[in-house]
Amino acid sequence: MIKRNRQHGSSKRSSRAVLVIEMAHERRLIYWAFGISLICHLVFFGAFLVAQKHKPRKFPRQSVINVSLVATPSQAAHSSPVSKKTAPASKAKISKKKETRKKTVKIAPKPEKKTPVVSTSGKPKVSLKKKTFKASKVKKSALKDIEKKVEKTSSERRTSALDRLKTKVEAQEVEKRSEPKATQAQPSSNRAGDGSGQGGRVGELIDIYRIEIAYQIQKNWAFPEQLAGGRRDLQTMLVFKIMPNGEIRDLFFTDRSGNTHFDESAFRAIMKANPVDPHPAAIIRPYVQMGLRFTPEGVK
Amino acid sequence: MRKLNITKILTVVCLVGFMAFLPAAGAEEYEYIDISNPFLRKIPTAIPRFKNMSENKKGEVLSVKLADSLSKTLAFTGYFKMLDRGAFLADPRNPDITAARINFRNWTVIGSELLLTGGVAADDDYIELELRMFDTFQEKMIIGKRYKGRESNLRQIIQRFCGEVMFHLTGTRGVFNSRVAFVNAEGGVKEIFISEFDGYNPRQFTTDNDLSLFPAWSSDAKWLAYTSYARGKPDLYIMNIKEKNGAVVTRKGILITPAWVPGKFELAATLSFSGDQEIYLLTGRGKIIKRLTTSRGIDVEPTWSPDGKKMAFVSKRSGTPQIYIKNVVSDRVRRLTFEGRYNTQPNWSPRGHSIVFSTMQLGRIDIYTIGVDGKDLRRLTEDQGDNEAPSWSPDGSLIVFSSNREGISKIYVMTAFGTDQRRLISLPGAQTSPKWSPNITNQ
Repeated sequence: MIKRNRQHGSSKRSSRAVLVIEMAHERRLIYWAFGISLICHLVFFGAFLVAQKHKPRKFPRQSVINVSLVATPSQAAHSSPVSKKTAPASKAKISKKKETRKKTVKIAPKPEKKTPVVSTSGKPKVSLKKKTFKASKVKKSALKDIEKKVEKTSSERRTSALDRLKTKVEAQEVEKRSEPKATQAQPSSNRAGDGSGQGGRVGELIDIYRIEIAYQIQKNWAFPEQLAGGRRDLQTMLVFKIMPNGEIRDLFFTDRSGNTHFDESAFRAIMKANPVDPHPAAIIRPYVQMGLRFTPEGVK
Repeated sequence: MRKLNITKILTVVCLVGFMAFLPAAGAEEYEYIDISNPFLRKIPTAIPRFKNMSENKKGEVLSVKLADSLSKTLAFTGYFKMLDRGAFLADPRNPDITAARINFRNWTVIGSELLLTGGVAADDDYIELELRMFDTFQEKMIIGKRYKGRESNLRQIIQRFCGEVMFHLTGTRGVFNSRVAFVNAEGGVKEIFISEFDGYNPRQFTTDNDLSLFPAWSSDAKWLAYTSYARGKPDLYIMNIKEKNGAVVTRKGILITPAWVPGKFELAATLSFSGDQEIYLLTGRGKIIKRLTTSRGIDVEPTWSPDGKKMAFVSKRSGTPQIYIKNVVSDRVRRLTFEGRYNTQPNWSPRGHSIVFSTMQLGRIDIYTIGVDGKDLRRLTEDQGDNEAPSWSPDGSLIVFSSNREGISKIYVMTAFGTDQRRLISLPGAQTSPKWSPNITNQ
């Protein structure tokens, strides 16, 4: 018994020694691990801080977009529906709703009606029977008319809007350049001004292009309010690329609302708008990436 | 072993840390533009004429008639914008009705998000119908059904398919199995009529040749309670609709505005035998279970929450008629409406979250909805004569009401948002007090 005990004790001791060595080894390992994790953490937060630094640059640019859009009155009708509170629907129905809604609603129906009025004006009234009888003929001529008009108006609108923007951006640049000169060292500010000026101009054009596309997509968005199931917190986010010819590619969800009808309606809106207007000539990029956030805020 | 474990764990932790961080950094890249206003609040839908698969005259006639019927029935719900067939690019003479043959591009290009096709084969006795619904952008069939019936069943078949469509979209089968009861006034008498949900086939229910008012459906749609003057004073009649028998509750004073408790053979009604108009709970046989209101001033027009635990009603306890909600479990009462001086005719949505009622303001009566929590007051009718007696459809998406916008009072229907207001019933005489039934399951 005693012997066995002793043996036991010695084996304990030796195992303790092994343990000590092991622990020392482990400690070293733990230090290593700590070191690695510390570095990793530093990298994370460093990256995070860098990313944060970039952020504020983006936001003012966004607000700049909004301002320039409002100041693009090529067509009141064209710019107005982008504003958040427009609520399209038939006029008769809207007029019945609350006074508070009235204000916001009135602007919207105009653009919807504009094109058909233009395309059919000047034509004598044809009875419904005739219309359906010679459907193909009527369709062809109507399509031609519309095509002509669309080509004319959209290209005119775009070029004039772009021209105006260019002059405006240039004016802003001059202002920008003149401001920092007073406070900062001249050479560095000059260089920075030139660089960001060029980039900003194209960036701004892209932002305006994006908003125009967003409007085209919004016009194609159909969603009955009842399908929201009384929920107003629905939100679905999609990202896609627009090729120079206006083709939409690589469309995917970055966030879904959980309501499939809502998500699908957003998806369809983009698919229906495809192809959208091609890139303006000033944008020389392989594609323009764009994100849209759909919310049923306006859905009552 | 331990060494390995620790190092392994550490590396895994590090990796997970990295991975958790990476997508977040990725998400930062996109800037989003907000779109918060659907341009169209309906689903653009195309229903081309059906394919005549029997190639006879009957099939030819039915292929147009049934397509129109499907289009009309679905449009009634207010969810769909039916596209004009004149704009369709597909050949109307020989429509493709299966996914394999349909060129979906023809439909997406005209903006149609849903496509419903039908094939009809008719012989002398029976008619076979194939109905399908497609998502044009995903290019897939959502619903496909085949029906067989006689010509007299066609309306039912179309409605059943519409029920499937609505079930896909909303999770409920819509209103297609429901009816509307209303009071028709003609030649000095008021009788209760019942029509189908879309105003089709109105039939006279009461034949007392007197005044019958305030129809109320039981939640299984088998019983109708109403007030009738058939015995010289306003008594409460509780009638089985099919067998036309039941109970007559007669007491001193008036017995008006019945409302069935959901899921039970019990109803609340206003009785005035105590000298004051108070709401009582009665059995389906007309026995009083208990008194539900005890305040001074009239208490009328009860309406139940879908779970049967709460009851909204009109009370004059604060001087003007206002809507109150009583929790019949806890016996607590709270006032719901504070705006306006004359709020009456509440009707609790079968979805539970809101109550529709009518308000008199400056001599005009209009319909509003309010959340059960008293928030979110919305006006649904405006500048269109007087609009009264609103009642929810069983799926809570539509509201039926009476209005004198075209002169004498008629029955109209609108969506829960006040859009798509249209007349429901075209009968001579004046129609009032419509009540929408629950969906009828086995009749």
